[in-house]
Amino acid sequence: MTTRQSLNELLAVLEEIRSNDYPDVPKELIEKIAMSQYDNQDARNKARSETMSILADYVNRTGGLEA
Amino acid sequence: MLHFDKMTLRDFGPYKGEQTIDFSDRSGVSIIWGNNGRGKTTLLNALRYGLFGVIQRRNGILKNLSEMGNKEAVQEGRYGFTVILDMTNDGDTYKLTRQLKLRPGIVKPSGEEDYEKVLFLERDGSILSPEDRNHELNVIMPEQVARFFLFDAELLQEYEELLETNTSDGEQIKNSIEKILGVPVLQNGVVDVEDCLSNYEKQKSRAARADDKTVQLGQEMENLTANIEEHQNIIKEKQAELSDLIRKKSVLEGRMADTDKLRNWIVQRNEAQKSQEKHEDELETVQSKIRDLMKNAWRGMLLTTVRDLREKIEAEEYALDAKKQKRTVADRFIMEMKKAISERTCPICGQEVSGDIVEHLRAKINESTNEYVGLSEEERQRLYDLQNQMLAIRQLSADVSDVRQGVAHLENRRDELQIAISECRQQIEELHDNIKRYGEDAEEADVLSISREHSDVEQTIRDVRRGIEDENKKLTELKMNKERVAATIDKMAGGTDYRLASRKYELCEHVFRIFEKSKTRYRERLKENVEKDATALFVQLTGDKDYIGLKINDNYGLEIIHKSGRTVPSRSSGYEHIVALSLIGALHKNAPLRGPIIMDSPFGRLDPTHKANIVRTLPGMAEQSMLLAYIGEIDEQVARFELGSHLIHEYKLERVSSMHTEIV
Repeated sequence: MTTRQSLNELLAVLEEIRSNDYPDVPKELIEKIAMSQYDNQDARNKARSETMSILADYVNRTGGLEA
Repeated sequence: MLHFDKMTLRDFGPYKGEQTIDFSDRSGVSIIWGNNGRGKTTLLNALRYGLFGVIQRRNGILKNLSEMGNKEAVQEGRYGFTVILDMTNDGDTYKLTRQLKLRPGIVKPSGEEDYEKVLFLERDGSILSPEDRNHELNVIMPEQVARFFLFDAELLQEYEELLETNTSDGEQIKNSIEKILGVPVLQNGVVDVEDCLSNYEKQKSRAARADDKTVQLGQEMENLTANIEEHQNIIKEKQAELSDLIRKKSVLEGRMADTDKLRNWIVQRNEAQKSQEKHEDELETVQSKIRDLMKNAWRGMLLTTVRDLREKIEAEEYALDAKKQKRTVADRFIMEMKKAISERTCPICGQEVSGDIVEHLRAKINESTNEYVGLSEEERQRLYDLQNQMLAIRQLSADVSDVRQGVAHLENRRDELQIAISECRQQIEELHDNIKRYGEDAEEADVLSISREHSDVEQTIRDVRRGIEDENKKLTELKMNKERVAATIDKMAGGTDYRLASRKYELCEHVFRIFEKSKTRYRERLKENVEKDATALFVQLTGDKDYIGLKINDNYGLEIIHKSGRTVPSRSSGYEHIVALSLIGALHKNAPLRGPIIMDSPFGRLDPTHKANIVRTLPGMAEQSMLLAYIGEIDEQVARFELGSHLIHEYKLERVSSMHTEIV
């Protein structure tokens, strides 16, 4: 997936919050969800199912946050 | 970033045959000069048609697209039209072809149904599937944000709505602004991650229920979650209802604006009709009263004669009556005197009556009997007749003077009413003509029902908003309860399944918080950036040193700030355009979605200095701009000087005939 250059400002805000408040969440996970939402603005169902699937893949792979 | 390379038109509007405008792949400004009626707005519509398949007319969307075909081409047997857009976006090359053409087998169309719509989108030389094509078009240029790319002076005026709160137009523009700025990416992210969160929460509750220590709390948690979901669904339904209502309100406001004049005429005509009917009813009553009074009016004519007769009868009656009275008095006196003679005592003083006095009394009795003889039989009959005559005369002359006065008053009122009725008739006739001429066959009942419907919708919007607020309060309370229960479970539960479910939930919750916080911060930052960039543009555009900037509100409405720090109220139409252009420029700088600006006669009532300022600022507002202007709207020399090397092309729309324009 290529990051659209014009989405930088939006991604920068997400990264700012993530790195300061929730560093335990990987940057790539947030970016993947944001890009999916950006690319599917005209298809809400697709955006929703992709977001769920991105999160489920990550959670199932890692088991969620470390205790 | 979207860039238009060229546009090819075939028989579209006045553009007969195939004509191409080369916008070039360079950054800068193209100017298209054309006088009124030559097809500047049609060019804007060609772009709109190419991108979205719609054609915007002043009175709304064009329903019969075939009307857009070139009239001379139709006479030559060519029906339909084509728009081809060559563009690039983020390194990809696109060729968009949209066409309205005759269905196979049709030679001469009899209606809209004889045409078919054709749409192709090639990306980097490959034709996309319909699904990919629609998705790609929605991504590179969503119709919802078209107002920031394709606009005219009228559209610029609409941004004033952003200064008001709770107007449906303002709300729509605000949504479009947030859309172009990318806020829905985070907004939808929040909603979708929250859905995931809810799934992981259920897993956590199930794990808690399976743990002996937290069975009851797990059950309570599940109940609370179900309850919360129920309220969330109600809120979603209400929000969807609210969106529909806001759309409906906006449509009604549009219809109200379109039919404003017509509605006023209908209302005025109906009032005039009511007024006429009221006057006619009163006139009928007045005329009836006059008729009644006139039945007895002949009495007034006889009034003098009657008065003379009455005086004569009264005199005769008086004389006879006096004679009758005298006889009555004399009879009583004679009776007293006779009594005194017979009893030899005065009935008044009781003294004895002497013989002399008796003789004197007898003489008096004779005298009185002869002098007061009373009425003869003939005179009595005469008095009786006179009394009857007087009674008849009194009845005859009763109220005769009031009748004359009343008739005069009623006749004045009758004249006034006749004039008023005549004026009403004239007014109704004029209004009827206006309604017939400009009403465009609109159903009067429909026109009148719009404002009623509008106020009903407004009331429902208020009710739905109140409903959402109530639901949100309930939701907050339930969420707080749930947090308390969750905290207790966390302390008590110790099973592996619960710990695993908790870790998954926490990760998802952190993702949710990231999106939620980012949404708020991104919005705040965008507002700061839009305000800053719009201010910079505004200062360049206005050139007035008293105005130091713009201040943004929650709706993205911009207020002008005076150097004293006060906001400037009631700005002019010209300044409204400048503020709107400043906002559009700032949005283009801050939006993830960027593209060209195409302006159709945007200068409105601006003076030459401000026009020059806008032209100078244009290259900085967007990477690619196209300016459609009529000759003289801005000085050609000034435009060339101000744009300098940023001016890429100049085209002229030249008249060949009233139905044929050539782009040269």
